[in-house]
Parts: sequence; structure tokens; C-alpha cells
Amino acid sequence: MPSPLLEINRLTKRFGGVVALSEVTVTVEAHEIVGLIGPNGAGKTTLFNCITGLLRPEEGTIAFGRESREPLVGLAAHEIVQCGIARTFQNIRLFAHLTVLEHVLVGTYIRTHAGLLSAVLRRREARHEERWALDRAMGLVEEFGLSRRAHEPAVSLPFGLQRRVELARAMALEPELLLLDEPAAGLNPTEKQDLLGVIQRLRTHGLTIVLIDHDMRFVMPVSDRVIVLDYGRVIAAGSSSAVQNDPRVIEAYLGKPSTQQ
Amino acid sequence: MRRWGAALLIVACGLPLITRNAYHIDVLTGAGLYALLALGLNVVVGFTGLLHLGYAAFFAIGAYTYALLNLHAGVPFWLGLLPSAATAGLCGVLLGIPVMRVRGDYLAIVTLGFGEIVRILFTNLESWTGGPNGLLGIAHPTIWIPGQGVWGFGVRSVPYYYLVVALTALTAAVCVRMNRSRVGRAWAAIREDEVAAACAGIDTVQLKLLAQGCGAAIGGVAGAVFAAKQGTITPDSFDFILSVMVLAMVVLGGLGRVSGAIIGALVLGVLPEVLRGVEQFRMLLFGVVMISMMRLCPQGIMGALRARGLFRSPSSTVDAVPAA
Repeated sequence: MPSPLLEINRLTKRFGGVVALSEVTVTVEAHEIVGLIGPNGAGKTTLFNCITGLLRPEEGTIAFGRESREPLVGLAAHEIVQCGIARTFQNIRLFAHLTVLEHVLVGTYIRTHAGLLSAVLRRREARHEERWALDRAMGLVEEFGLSRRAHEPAVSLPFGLQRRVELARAMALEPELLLLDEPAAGLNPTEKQDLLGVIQRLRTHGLTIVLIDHDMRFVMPVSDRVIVLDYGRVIAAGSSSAVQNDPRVIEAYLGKPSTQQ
Repeated sequence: MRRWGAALLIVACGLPLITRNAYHIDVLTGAGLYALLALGLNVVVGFTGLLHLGYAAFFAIGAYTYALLNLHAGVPFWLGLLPSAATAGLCGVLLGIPVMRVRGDYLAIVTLGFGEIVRILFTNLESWTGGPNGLLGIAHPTIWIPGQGVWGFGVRSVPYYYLVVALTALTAAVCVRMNRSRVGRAWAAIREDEVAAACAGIDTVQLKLLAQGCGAAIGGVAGAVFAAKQGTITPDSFDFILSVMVLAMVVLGGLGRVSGAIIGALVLGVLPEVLRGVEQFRMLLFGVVMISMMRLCPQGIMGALRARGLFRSPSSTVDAVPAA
């Protein structure tokens, strides 16, 4: 039995009187793809924000890593990235004015170390590093099918490609765990199929992925395991079929005609 | 772009051979000092997106640092440059710590307050700074010429002109290289979306402090040059209007563009002098020019030129031809 890669224990997050997450306990094994589903406002994004250090939970612990169990609560967002967790955002967050290539280059920041002085003096190590970063970024740009648009401002790209820019930027961080917040939102059916292909390919690289979506038909086929949140609580977890037939899930989520059609 | 920079530098170096008019040279020296300040402020506002309204404070700190070192310890100008830059840079970092959590308009208000505090401190610390009368008798720079011995800049205008041109060219080159480095890209990421930058592994606190330190240090260098050129400094040379003028230069030239900061400083530094012919309408026309510029090309002079296909480069933070 391998020890889990991510272990969240009794995590609670409140916003004033609203309990967004209530004693959430979740584990994610290495190389797993986990679907995190639940109706709007269930606390899915809040959970991601707690894991990535954008929000600080009131109670509970988050531990990450295969050998050394790093406690994540209290670390800054950039320190958590250095532990090996990368994410994308529900509302794509790109850097206006920066080109596609520059976005991916920003992702190589934590893998490079040249100081400002080295860069200004164009020292040999700074030039080598810059060359390495450029090669690496170009490789990722190509891998995500963005070569033709590499020098265009990322925000000028179609929505589906913008998602890919965000993914390429996240992959430049060389994460062990990738958190995808509604990656399929706003995509048309073809783009969704492309995205599924990309996710499957990332898994073959040995990546662990947690995927938020409320489109169950999108999450179920790619996920090894599904976790269902409702009102900040885990109401079910298990294989797609088991969760689909869980009466609590049907009541909380699948039973709603608006999300079933 | 590099070719245009070199051309501008050659023209700048050749100008004193064409005009012998000390007033023209003096105006251009002033514009060059503005360019130095605009380059420094551009690191903070343009590269990193931190709105700063008290930048004149770093100019003042640099000027007073050199003046005090010179008057009390006899430190010559060239040696005084470094402590001036360091003191201003340190103050930039120290100011950066308490303002770390404020952004945009709020940051502007806090930095505005900082600028005023520094000016008022220099006015009131009379035993150190001479109060409103300022400091007098600051040494001009000297250089050693083989065969001629030590030669002082004195009150001539041409040597200061070349000094300012050299420093501006050097600073511009440094700024371009900073911008085209991993740090420059991280600054740009922070400017565009701080949350996304942090989630891309960028230590936003450290990098914002670095930007504020670098920007302030450049202001400090400009301050030392100013003090050495004038020989006298008073607190009212470093008022809020100066901070606003330098910010206007950066915005007018094109935020985040090194070339823009220089062009903006040249335009706004020379324009009031050119308009002297129309006497009392001078500042009115000055205002009209600024308003119409911002109406017609809000992305600044260099931004507008680029949008029309001039000086185009594929991206600003990556070298066009990567070094092999």
C-alpha cells in the first residue's frame, strides 16, 4: 500500500459565519486522477485555494509529498509550488501583454536561479540558463500545440488555446500534483475532447491530477476516483459507478434536473 | 531598437559640437536627469506595476547622501555615487515592507505620504540638512586627465551634459537587460496578475522589494548627480510636483518601455523651455499637450509607434536572438 501523495485531514474554512469547508478529509494517491465534483458553492475551489496557499484554513492539516511529508498550511503560495503542486484557475488567469512563450517562460522561473546582477552582466551561467529556459519553454509550447501562436499575446488566443497556455505554464513548474479547476468550462465539445486527450497524456508522464468540474460526463471517464462535495462536506467518494449510484449524491447533485440534462 | 538607441546616443554626444549655447546644453542636461529618474521609476511602475507617487524622495535621499558625505567626510563625487544609490535603494526596500499589502490607489496614497515625509524631514532636521536653506558648497565632480592633472567640472555645462548622457545610456542598458531576464518576466507577471504569479512559484514579496530597491537606487544616482551639479540643494527641489512630472514622463513615453521613459523625459523636460516664448500660456499649453497625448495614444508615445508597426519586436522580455 503506497502512502498517499496528498493527505487532507479535517480541513475547515469559514468566511465569517459561512462554513465553506467543514472537516474535509481527502487523500490522493500518487499517479491517480481524482475528480472533485459537487454543485455550485459546494467548496471545490475553496479546497483548491486552501491547498495552494491562497486561503488559510481555520482548522485541519494538509500534508504533501511521498517521502518527506510537508505540512502545507501556513506556507506561501510560491512555497507550495516549490513543493510540487501546480494549478490552473476556473476563470483563466493569464498575464495580459505577455506572449504565449513568455507565459511558459514565467513558469520556468522556479527552475532557474540567476540573480539580477548576473543577468545584467550577461554572465555565462545566466546566458546558459536563459538558453535552457527558452528551449524548455519552446518544448512545452510545441507539446501543447501552441507553436504557431508562440509570439502572440496569450489573451488574444481563442478560449480553448488560452486554457492550454495555462496548462503549459503549470507544466513548466514540473509539478507532481496538478490541480485543474474546471478546465472544461467554456470549451466547446471538440475542445473538451482535446482536453481529455491532454489529461490522459499528462497521466502517462506519471502526474497526479485532481480535477474539478460539475459536468459529470466529463469527469467520470477520466477519473480513477470521484469525490463529491456538498455544502463543504465530503458526501461520497469512490469509483465513478459507485458514486453515481449513491443516493446522497443523487439527492444533492444528480437529482437536480438543471444539471442532469 | 538597439540601432535607434545607438543613433540617439550618437546624436546626443554630437549635440554640444553643434550648439555652443550653454542654456541649450543645460536644458538638455536637465532632461537627461529626468530621463534617469524616469528610467528608475519605470522599474517600479512600468515593469512591476506598483504605482508610486513619492519617487522624488529617492532623488532627495541620493542628493542629501552625497552632499552630507562630501561636506562632512570630503567624499568625492565618484565615490559618493555608490552610497547615494545604496542609501536610496535601502530606503526603497524599507518603504516597500510596510506597503507590501496595499496595491493600486492605496499604494499611491501611501507613497505620496512617504514623499512628503522625506521632504518635510529634510526641511526640519535643520542641524543636519540646513533646513529650508539647504546645504551649500557641495563639491563638483573632478576627473584626472593624463598630462593635465586634476580637472574640475566647475560650473561649466558641457561636462555635466556628457556625464548625464553616459549615466542615462548605462542605466537604459541595465534596464533593458533587467527586463529581459527571468526577474524581468517575473516582474511582468506580478504586474499583470499577482495571484497567478504567486501560483507560478514567484516570490512576489521578494521581487516587489527588489524592484522598489532597484528603482530607488537609480533615483539616488540621479540625486547625487544633481547635488554635484548644483553645488547647493534645498528641500523644495524635491517636491510632490517632481514625483508627478516623472510619473507623467513614464506614462507619456509608454509604461514599461525603457525607450518610452527616455522619450517621455526628453519631451516633458524640453517642452516647458520651448514654450517659454508664449510666456504665461506656457503651462496651459503644456497641459493641453499632455491631455491630448493621453486621449490620442493612451499607451504612450512608444506604445503608439509600436502599434503602428514601428520598432516592433516579437516580445519585450525575451531576446530576439537568444545568446548561444
